[in-house]
Amino acid sequence: MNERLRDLEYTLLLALLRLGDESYGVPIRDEIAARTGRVLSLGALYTTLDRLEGKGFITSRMAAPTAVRGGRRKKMCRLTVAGKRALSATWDFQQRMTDGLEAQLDDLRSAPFATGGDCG
Amino acid sequence: MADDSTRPTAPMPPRISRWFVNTLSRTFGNPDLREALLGDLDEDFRRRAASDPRRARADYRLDAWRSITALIRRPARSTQLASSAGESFMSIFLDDLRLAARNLSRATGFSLIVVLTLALGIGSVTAVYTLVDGVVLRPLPFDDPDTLVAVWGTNAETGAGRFTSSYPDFADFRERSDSFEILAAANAYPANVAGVHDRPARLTVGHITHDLFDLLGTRVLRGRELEPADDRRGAEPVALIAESMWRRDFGGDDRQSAVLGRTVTIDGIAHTIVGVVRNPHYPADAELFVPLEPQGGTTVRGVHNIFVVGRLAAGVPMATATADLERIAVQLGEEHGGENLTRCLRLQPLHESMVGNLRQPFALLLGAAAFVLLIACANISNLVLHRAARRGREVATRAALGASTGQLLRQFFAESLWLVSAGGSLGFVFAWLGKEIQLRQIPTTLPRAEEIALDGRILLFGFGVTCVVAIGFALMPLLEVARRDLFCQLGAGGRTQGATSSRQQVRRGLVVAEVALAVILVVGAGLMIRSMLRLSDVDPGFDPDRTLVMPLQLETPFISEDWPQTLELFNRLSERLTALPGVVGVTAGYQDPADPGWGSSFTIEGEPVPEPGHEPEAAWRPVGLDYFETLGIPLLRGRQFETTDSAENAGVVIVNQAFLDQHLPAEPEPVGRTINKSSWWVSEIQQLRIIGVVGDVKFSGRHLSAEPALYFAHRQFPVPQMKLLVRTAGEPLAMADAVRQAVWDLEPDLPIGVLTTLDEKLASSLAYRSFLAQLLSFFGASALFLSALGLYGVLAYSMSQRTREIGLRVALGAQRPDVISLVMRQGLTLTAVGLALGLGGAWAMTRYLESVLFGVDRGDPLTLAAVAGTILLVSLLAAWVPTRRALRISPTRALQEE
Repeated sequence: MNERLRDLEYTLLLALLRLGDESYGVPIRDEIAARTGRVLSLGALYTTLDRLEGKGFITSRMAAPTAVRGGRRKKMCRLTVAGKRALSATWDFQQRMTDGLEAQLDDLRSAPFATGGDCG
Repeated sequence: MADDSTRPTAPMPPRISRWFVNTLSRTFGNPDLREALLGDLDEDFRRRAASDPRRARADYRLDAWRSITALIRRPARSTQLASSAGESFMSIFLDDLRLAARNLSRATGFSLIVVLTLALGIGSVTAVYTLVDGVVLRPLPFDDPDTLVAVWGTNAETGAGRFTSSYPDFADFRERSDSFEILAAANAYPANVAGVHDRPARLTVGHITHDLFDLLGTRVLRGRELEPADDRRGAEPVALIAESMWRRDFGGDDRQSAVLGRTVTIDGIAHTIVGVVRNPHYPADAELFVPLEPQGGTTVRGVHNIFVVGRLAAGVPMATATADLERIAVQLGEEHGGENLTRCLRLQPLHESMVGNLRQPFALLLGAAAFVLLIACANISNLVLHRAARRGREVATRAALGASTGQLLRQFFAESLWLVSAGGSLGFVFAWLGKEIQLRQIPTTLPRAEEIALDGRILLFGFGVTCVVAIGFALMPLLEVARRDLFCQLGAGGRTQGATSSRQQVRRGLVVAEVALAVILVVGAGLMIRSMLRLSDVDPGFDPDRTLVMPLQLETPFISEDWPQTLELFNRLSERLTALPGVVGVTAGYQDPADPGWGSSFTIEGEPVPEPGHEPEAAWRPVGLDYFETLGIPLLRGRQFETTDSAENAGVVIVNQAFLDQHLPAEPEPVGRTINKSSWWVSEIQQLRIIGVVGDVKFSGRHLSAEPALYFAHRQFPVPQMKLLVRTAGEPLAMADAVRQAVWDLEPDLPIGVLTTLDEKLASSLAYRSFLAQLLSFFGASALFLSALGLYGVLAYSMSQRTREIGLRVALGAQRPDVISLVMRQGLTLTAVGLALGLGGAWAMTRYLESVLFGVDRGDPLTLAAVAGTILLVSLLAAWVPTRRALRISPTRALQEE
């Protein structure tokens, strides 16, 4: 199972890894927003989690309802072994591609034309 | 964080957004996803709301919307393709809906155009239906309305006319006829009413026989209804009020029926309120009702001023009742002679008598709206066909992979369902907006306007229309799928020429039909606009500019012993108002020049005496000094009224040109001739010398010809109700408060009616036509726009199909003009056929407009030419974009594409 992850999937799995054992929508979104400034919609987040679950990269369970959530339950997600493996494969792939480019990539980041590009 | 307890007064998340997420996440997600998503949204909201509740709500909405979009657009999971016999119908259907929503969300432009087009069509039809339903279709708000009839007087010779009756005649009908369960009478006119508002006011008072409300089935809410004893002369004056007035002006139930026993003063006579009734809707506009007691003018058989309504006795057909009344009319003629000899009677269902004349114009509007819907449907069919063609390959692939025709059809149906429900919902929003706009534009004279409402009936109607549309264009792709040769599609890369050309035939046919329908609507609108222009060019005969109309009535009977005081007061009022800064001129008239008023019979000395009952009638118009000068009515001969034309001196009269033309056509010197008129009152002057001739004024509206009129000097006919006409230097209504205050400075308790301007009154006589013209113009413009869109679609599609052909032609040496003519020719051919059919259709349909046209023939060449020009111009515009696209085709690229 050497499938590489899509951008959003990768981001979510990384967030889950950071948050430790088990987590759910709000903290995952907060984590991503705090680190990258990108605010996902909860709908996008859940459709991606759903897809990750379908691929076997995470498992989930429904927790007990709480008042602050209007009596709704949380969907607690956890990385599976396959998920961790996919994460490391993607990371590995990126590492190989960026290996030795660190200095150049740093330069690009500070250059004014760093964003956007012409693909012809 | 998760287990924070909420405060009891915590702000709530936006309900509508939450409802959408709840509903759609069920359709597009699964129960767990919905649960988690809603919970997270709530949790996030509560956290943010602690610092800024408003911002939190905004964030919730944004997040909800983005989440819904994400759910809908998420790619199908592999399990959804394997719909099999094992799955329930519901889950298959939901899958179809999901897939359809995804497909549509990727074709945003297509979806948007279809939804808007549909909404325009459904909205137009529903909005007009709301109007028609409220005014014409809905049964009258009375008990058993089918047996209610209006009794009208007619001309015995011609059988024509709809005249009101006199009280003595009515009393005889009631006594001698046994065709009616109840026969009642009513009239309504404005009176000075004190005791309802802070100041005395001019209110419409209904004068009714005691059994009118019994007849209509009007319920009594408090107190009692009228009794036979109340109708008698000399009875204690009593009044009933309508529920609306009770709630608004008497506090309704808050004061525990304290309204009973209170006194209202109507034209100086104290009436005790004895009951509150549900709003009776008849006589129109009245909220205060008093017994119609025979007194004053009402006792005279020749004064026809009451409306008679009846309820047919059980089992008595209209014809029998009519024959019965005709018999009585003949008897009355024999017994009383005079006018009774020339009057007959006829019955009309009450519903027809109230709104019958509106049936045709309203049917016309409904038809116009239906045309817009038809064009919208044709357009959508075109778009759907277009899309089906572009998806030919997708469809063929899916079919080859084992999708049955049923499955394909289900998917098309699901797409239609989304589009139609979105279009239908938006259509209702448009209908509601349309209704609000209509209510603002509607002529105030429209009967039953208060009954116009967007309710369950209308929703049902709109829903029905929507369903018909949905089925209609769900079938369109089916036909397409059914006759498609799938393998051929696959092989030819989705571009089979045979299927394309027959499909193009259908699409061209639809566009021709669209153009034809649009032409009919635009011709209708054009004719109405021309009529309005013609009408506004017609000289009304007076200058309406910057003139306030202020109705006043002194608290005296029609003509009383107090007349010197009456005149004195009007003089003082005129002086006072003339002295106001900003006032240019002041005069008075029993009617203003835009008021039809009423007529009276007369004879001219020295002319052949007419047969009794056949005396001619002329408009009867007492006016103040300077009337003609102030209002810009030209004096053609003789002189104006002067202060010496008073009661002590000889009677004088001024006639208009129409009077001369009709009654003294051969007289070289009309000034000095004498007119005799019958009198209603003992003191009234009966012999009048013509002292002047003035220009014609179109009292009844600019669309009618001027009627003969007799102007009397107010000083010789001191009626106590007059309208003061105040010409101002600036905007007249800005002076309204100052003018009112000036009157109240002199007479603090004098009730003043609603102030208007002559301009407004003149415009309101055209309000009905202008309303029709506006609606038809709106429909015409919509139709034009939609059909241009349709034409554009067909040409654009045809160009995309012919890219290769055009490329080849260019490669072989075709020049720009050749390419232009190639595209334009196709567009203009379709337009020309549509135009020809449309003009033919317009000739057939505008027949129904004829009654409201003015000064323009329905075959008016100018209108027809303008319409043809507009259609051609719009078609050229619609064809322009595809033409430019065709010009840009590069031959090398076009040929490589295959």
